[in-house]
Amino acid sequence: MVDEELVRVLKKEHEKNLKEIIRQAVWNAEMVRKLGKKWFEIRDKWLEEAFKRDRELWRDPKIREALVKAILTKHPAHKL
Amino acid sequence: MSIAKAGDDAGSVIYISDNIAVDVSRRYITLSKKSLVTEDIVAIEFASALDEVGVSYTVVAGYVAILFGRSRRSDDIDFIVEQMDMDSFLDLCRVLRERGFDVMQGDICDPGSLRRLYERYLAEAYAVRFMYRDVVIPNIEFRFAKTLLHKYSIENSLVVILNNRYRIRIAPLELQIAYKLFMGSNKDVGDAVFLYTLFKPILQRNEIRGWCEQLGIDCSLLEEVAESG
Repeated sequence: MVDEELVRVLKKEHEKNLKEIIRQAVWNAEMVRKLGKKWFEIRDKWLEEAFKRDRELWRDPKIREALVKAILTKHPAHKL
Repeated sequence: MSIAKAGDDAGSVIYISDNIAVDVSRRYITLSKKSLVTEDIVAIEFASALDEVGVSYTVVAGYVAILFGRSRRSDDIDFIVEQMDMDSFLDLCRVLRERGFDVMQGDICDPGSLRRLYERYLAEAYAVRFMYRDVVIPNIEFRFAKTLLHKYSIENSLVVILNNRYRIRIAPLELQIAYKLFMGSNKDVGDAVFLYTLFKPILQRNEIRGWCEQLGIDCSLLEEVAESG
């Protein structure tokens, strides 16, 4: 059956992705432990550069308004 | 004397790295780094406002991993806050407004709008979002503690002391890890593995297993990660 084959392929792909994410998370934790302060300098520089790029977009009021709408739509006030 | 040094004297400090130290008995984590990122600033400002009005809270989810060095961004910073009455909420909003926060689903300057938010969202167990100055992402997701897990997270929170100056409360790591596995997305599993690997020397593995059992999830993944490490 094609459907079964598709499910098998998707499951395999999902497992592969998950393995890669786990490997990356372990590596990330090891970097924090080994490099400590230095790691945070590298990571924080990357975070702030990404943030500044986003912030440039928000300076346009139309984009800003659309982004706020998108956030409220993407994350509806879900019941907890 | 820094908290970590004070803990040293008590002999209960475990160093995770050259800039992260955990005082296990006092439930403090000290973290020092060169500068703060926007995520830190938004979270610290919000936490300070909650401290100012004397409300108990805890930070949960993605920001906890980011705080400790996870290399990813987050759209929001999740705060779980003890139940407040309407007047206390209005007072908190006044402090938040003075500190540069705005509410995304209403008008923080309009008491009528805030009352409606309280009645329609918070009292009904929905979350409210706050934005800091011109920062749209990350924003604060604010919710009242409604479940036993929320209440446990607040009552057993850890204090993180950032750069020996700022304080922020986070949920117990064991519960965070189990809950992230329960959520189950690749991002959540990555955060769980990250926190587990980083804090392995101080984690109560039985506690993680207990939470996983309560949440009905298999935590063997963590054992595999521990064995491979």
